[in-house]
Amino acid sequence: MDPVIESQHQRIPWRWVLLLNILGQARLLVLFASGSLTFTMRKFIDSPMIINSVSSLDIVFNLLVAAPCLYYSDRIWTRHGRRMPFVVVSFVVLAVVLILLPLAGGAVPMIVLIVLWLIFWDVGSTFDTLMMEIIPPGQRGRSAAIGAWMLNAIIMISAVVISGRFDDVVHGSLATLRGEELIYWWGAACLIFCVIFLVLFVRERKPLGHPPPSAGNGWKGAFESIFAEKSLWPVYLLVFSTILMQTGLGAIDPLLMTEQWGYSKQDMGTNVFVGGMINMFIVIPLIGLIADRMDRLKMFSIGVIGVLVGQVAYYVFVQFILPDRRPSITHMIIFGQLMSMIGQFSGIAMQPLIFDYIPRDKMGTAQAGLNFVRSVTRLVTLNGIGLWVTFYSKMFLPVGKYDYFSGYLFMIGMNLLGCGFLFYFARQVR
Amino acid sequence: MRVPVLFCASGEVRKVLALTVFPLIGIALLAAAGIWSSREIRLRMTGVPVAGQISGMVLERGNSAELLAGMDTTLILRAADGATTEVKAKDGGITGIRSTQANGNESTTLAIEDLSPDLQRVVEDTVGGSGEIVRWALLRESRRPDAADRIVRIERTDTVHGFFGLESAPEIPALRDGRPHVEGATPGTVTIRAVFDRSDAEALAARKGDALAEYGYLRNGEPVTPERRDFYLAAEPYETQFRPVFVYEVKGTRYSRLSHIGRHGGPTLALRLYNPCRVYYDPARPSDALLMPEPGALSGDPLAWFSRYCEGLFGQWGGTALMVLAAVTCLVVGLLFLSLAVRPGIVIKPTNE
Repeated sequence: MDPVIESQHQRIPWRWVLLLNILGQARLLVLFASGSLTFTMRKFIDSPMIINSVSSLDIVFNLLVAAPCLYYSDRIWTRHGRRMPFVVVSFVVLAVVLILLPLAGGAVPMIVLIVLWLIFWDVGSTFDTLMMEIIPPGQRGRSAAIGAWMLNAIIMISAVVISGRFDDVVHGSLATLRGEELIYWWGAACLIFCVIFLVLFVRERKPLGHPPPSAGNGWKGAFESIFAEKSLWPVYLLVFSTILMQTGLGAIDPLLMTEQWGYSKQDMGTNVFVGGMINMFIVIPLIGLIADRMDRLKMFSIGVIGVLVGQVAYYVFVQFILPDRRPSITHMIIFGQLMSMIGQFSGIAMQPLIFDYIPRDKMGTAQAGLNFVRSVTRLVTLNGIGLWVTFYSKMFLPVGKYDYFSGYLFMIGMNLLGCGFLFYFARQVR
Repeated sequence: MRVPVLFCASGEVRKVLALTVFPLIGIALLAAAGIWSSREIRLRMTGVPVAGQISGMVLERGNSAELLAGMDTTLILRAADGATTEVKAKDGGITGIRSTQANGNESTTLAIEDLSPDLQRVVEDTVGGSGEIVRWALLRESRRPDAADRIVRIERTDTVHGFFGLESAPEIPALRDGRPHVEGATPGTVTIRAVFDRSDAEALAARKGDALAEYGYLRNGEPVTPERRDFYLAAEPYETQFRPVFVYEVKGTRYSRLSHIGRHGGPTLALRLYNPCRVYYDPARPSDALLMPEPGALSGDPLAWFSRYCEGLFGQWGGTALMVLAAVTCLVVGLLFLSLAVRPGIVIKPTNE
């Protein structure tokens, strides 16, 4: 009688897989709950520039915290395992942060808590590795399918039940509960569930092989080796340009819908719910059908040009065709799904295209370099869009008002710039 | 220092105790959900349903509260050709519409159905909407520059009747003349006059495109600077909580109660001022009642209706639903672990071990 789930087995019972997927989804529910961070920040911070800057710290900590934690978790062993200490510490701190977050009475404690949140979320990035060490390769395919099904279910629950609750206040006979507390404490409860699950029922077994050797030379050496290889520069340029083209509004996106267009957070949830259903039942099967019948380079070109055309069309439609410059939820879903569909064309074609230009013996270095370029570019574009919206609004709007939709101009600009770099890339590799 | 039983017990006992953790949490959460919503569940299951109406709104701030008990609105819409339409409304219902031609000579009393579809939409949007909705309505009108009857200026004066400067939210507002009333408190008024004007392009450009040209907020005749230059329910900071007051009738007696559902940032979509609602009251004690949002039949934009429906449903039951979801998950997980303890399943260890 031992119900403990262990790592390092060649085959495991399917009930383990099911339980681990429930565990994984509980963690993702926390991530969805953290989607309300924009609204928590908005309570104390007006400037979209600062809101996006705080959010973009996520990318910094991805580089500074997640990468070292993952690196060291490969090379240590404790009596509690090598991934578990990171995960458990991370989840406990995150739960405390989420409990305190809705009680923060000012901008400073709130930002401290959000920074702690971002740091410790990355400390817990060894969670996925732990899952992969428990689920053997032969069972990962079906596990991913179970996970995908559960993910869709929790997206629906988050969109319809949770995301719209932020502003609610329920005066129960025992206590008063604010929606913000409900959302974050729900997230904390999910984390506590994960901690109990991991501590009582998951055990890491020591791997049989030796840990991989240290890279040596520290950060500097690693950084230099990434960029020393000149043959990889065009690939970095390719990724840089595609990330430019994927620039989004970031944390200010929900503010466009709620503050500028006057929709409620529940409307936002409806948008995600209906969009998700269309995506699941129409867009993804359609893409799958077309993807097998089309040349990858052609798909990539359609994706790149299509997204740019879609953004321009959406901007023109809202700004110049809609009489009150305010799209309905249906408009948002139609444009959102169209752009998502077109975007998936380039997404599907992108990965193989990149690796076509990387020599086999440099794939590891290239992967590290690609991650670095992606992170830095995202950091720049996220902060750039916050700056743009702030200054555009200062120029053209009365004091205290923000035109979040002007961010689309920045997005279109970045898309054009990305297209320019892509054209240059195409000429270089021809 | 006491060590938790789980950690000092022998191996087998510890395993048995571990197996009970998730089922116990699940049962505890189910019990917590039941206790948390006991009154709501009791009234929803055993209460008598009756039609009600949102007839007032309590605004709760940190240490003070206000009760909106009634609202009179005067709306003056001026078209590009100089014709004006004056609309009077009381407690959410339009009481009169008077149209005056451009030369000012001929005045006609109209019903809302007599207005042109465009004008009808402007009136419906702006008679009770926030300042932002008035701005959108004017912007929409400006997009038909060739129409002489397009509205270029909207002047709205709201007179809010109520009780201001209360120390706390009145739990059971009384009724007087059909409006909520706080016994022992002095009634007052808030008057908000706002003029939105897009008739003068230069003046509009000088205001950086903002249609709001004039604004005044008076509480009992004294000027006040609100957080936002907007109408009463939209002028508050985010922290202000909006709690509807609902009215219902049982055997000829009218009751008025404060809702247990509130919202920050503005009234909830599902419980709008002067909208109908459903009330479940205790037949043994009709003053004990539960307000349930009434999304009404599916009409207009189906997605907006769906949002209202979800907001009403989960604004009421969201917390309980999440507790039940967590409880069911814990029970399922507990049962799965129990099944693993009874029948562990096949584990193949690495061959070189």
